[in-house]
Amino acid sequence: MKKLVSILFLLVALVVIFEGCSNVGNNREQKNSRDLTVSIENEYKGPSENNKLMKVDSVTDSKYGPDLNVIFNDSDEIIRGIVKNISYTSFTGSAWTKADILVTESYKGEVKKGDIVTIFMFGGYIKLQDYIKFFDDRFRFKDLSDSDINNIVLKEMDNGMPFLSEGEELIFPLITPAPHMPLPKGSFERMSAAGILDKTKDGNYIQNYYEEGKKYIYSHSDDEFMSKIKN
Amino acid sequence: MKKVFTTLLLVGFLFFVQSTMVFASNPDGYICNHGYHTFGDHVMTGGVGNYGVNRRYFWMTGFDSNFNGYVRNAVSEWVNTSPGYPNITTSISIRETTNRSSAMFEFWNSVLPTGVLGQTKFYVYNTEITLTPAGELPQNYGWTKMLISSQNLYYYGISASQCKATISHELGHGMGLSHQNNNIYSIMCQASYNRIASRGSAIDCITINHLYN
Ligand SMILES: [Zn+2]
Ligand SMILES: [Zn+2]
Repeated sequence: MKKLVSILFLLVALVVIFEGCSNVGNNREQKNSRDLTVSIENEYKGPSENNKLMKVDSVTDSKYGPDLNVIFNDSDEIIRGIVKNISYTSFTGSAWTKADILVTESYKGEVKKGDIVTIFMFGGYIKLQDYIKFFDDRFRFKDLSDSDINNIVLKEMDNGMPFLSEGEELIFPLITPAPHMPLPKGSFERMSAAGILDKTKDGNYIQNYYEEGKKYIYSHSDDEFMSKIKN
Repeated sequence: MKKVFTTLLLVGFLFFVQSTMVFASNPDGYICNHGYHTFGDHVMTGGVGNYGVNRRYFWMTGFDSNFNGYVRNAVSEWVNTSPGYPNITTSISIRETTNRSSAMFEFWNSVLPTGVLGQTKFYVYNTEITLTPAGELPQNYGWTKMLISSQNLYYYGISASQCKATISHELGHGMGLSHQNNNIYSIMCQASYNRIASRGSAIDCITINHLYN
């Protein structure tokens, strides 16, 4: 009898442990998916075919390098999701990308599988006229006519990193914007340009890190990826 | 005794090899054919002051009095490198101006993403400029805009000396220096790679002289 109780106890414990484990990673779906997207006033859909593009590159100095342990640790949310509805906006004259993400997997935080969230990240398109309006530097572009200026769109890149495209499925470490950030309430910010990962079909995680235009590729196994999240 | 010495030497050597290997793994900026950390030896058109013969100017906006001071100190330390630290003369001659159109170096207090402390943008009049996949600038540039987030620097509680260092670092980019992430004593090491320099060091001044002499 005592033996039977022990076995039953063990079984229950095992079930609890397994439930706990499977909760990390995959099965965080809830019955009601939530539309957590936000909108902003100053939203730009990007250049049309008629616009002339002018690319401006930059070097950006972040507190974060490519170390995923640090990035994941400082993230509030880590999600995998499909990129939808890309648009652009600007803060203090610099272009940002705004994207809605349909969450397909949740690894850390409150956002669940099935939710749609809005994220913001550095880099994007800004009309030259809007840029000049903020920076008040028409004099820097004195060889351009007013009609040139109305037609040019700046493509502002960050260390040469490519922009998101709709339909991509990527892993995003995210944070709730700090109180001093002008991002709308309820939105998220990309944790670090270094933290976006692509999960390949063979189950590896590819991290593309851009340093002054140079691309560094780091590959992480499933086990490594998971251990970095838990650390 | 000799054996102990040999062993110690070996351990020391292995430690050295290991530490340099660890350092060498940091992603780094472009290194020119001559071995210097530059953006492919592309420079600010007209130079960075030519020993005062063609003085350049900086202009700043939006900062509080602390950060106004950091910007002024950062510029002054780049200008005054000899006599004193690091005792290497360069051609840098940059002064503050309130006449913005004469300033080729602009410092803006800006909204930057969380975690981002500073950013340097390169401009050529009326045309575009992007980094190549190798990390070079494709051509010389006309002026730079250096965006600093004093709010992020305050938010992270970064020391006054490293706030100033962020500005010195961006000005280093503005003059054409690329990252030196494997040398914590260079101002061009990023904060994320544990930079301890707070102003241009000997190697940074030597690199400036490579570009502008
Ligand atoms: Zn930098
Ligand atoms: Zn060279």
